[in-house]
Amino acid sequence: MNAQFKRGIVELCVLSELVMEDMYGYRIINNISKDIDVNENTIYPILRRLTKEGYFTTYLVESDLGAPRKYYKVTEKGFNYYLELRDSWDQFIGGVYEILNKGGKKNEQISERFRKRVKKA
Amino acid sequence: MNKFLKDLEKELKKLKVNDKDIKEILEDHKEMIEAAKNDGLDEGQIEEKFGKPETLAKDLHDDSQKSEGKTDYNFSDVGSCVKADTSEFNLVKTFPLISEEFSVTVGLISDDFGLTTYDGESIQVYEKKVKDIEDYTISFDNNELLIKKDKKKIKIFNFSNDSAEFLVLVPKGIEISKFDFKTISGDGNLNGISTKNFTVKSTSGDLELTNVDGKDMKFSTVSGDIEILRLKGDQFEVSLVSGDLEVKQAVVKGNMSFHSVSGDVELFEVECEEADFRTVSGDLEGKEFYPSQVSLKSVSGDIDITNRNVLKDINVISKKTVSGDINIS
Repeated sequence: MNAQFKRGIVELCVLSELVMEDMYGYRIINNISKDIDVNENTIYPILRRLTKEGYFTTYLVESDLGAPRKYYKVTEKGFNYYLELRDSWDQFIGGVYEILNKGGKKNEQISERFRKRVKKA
Repeated sequence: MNKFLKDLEKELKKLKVNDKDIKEILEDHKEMIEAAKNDGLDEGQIEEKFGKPETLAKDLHDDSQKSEGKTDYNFSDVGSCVKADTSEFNLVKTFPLISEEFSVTVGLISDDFGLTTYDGESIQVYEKKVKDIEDYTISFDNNELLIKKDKKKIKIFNFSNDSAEFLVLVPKGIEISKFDFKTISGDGNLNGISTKNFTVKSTSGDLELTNVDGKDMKFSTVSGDIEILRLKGDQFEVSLVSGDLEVKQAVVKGNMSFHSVSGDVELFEVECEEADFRTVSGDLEGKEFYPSQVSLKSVSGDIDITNRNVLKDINVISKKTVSGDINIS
């Protein structure tokens, strides 16, 4: 997948996780990498950049297991940005599905149609 | 995992990232690696999860280059893939674009007008619910796009509620040398415009502008409201009678001046040099508003600024008012 495009999607995921609750870095990485193939070196730069741009603030929380942890918190600006980004995403993915579903929604349907068409030719 | 931290430090130094940032990045990683260990991950798993220090360093470096200096809003990659919805419109004309630059002049009465950028090579003009397209001049001559309702064909008694709408798509990344937009009661919705000279005049039509990059900007309305989201520019001038103005996220290099009779001005996350507010009874409310200096001339209008960063000084250079006041907190 195109790196820029993937970053855009991961950014949306990071925002979405943090809109639900404040989290520390490793937890965000862990939560997201459960579902999509992404590692720390994609997520951390996003956390850092969005913090710099004022979408997140950070605070430290003491941990029983060693050093204090840096928690990330979504600001009002970050939340508005999330809504906007999510809107764009929905529109975009909606458009993509409009196109994909023209040929049928299920693999069987799509294959059947394709075989028929190839046979004709 | 100490090797990871050492390599990361080495890579960041190679890219000349400043020491303070390096220190913070390394601390964050120490913490995250520790959290991963506590989670029961072994060295191999951690290595896989954290990836290559070189890629990480490069991404962090690229990002820090981008956000150096003043805020440069980078519009999301996803957002730029969204296509303007032209499904309910009819294509009127397509003009191929030969030169690097062109100007836009729009003069409408009650029709709504939208302009947005797209991933294409030519200028496309669409319409919706236009009764007779012959009533309009739509042309592209000498690098000027002109969309105009012809004067002689304006019917005085036109009770049609069904207002028509135009939508124009222009190629992304091309600078518009001059953008002149005039409307009476139609609304304007302009997105992604990059222009040297931006003039907007509306009587009662509302204006919505997003992602504007304009050097010299002059807006005026009588009762129409103006809403601006994300703006960059050199000079910003607005004149309102009873319409309101709302600006969110703007960086203006030079001055911003606001003239209003009773219209209010609301600013959120705005930076500029001098802010000049002249009004009879309108108020200016700024949150995270950082002009270097302000001046107020009013009868009863106030300026209220609430900022989190109190270290940035705002100088009051002049205040002439009967019952108004300037509050900065």
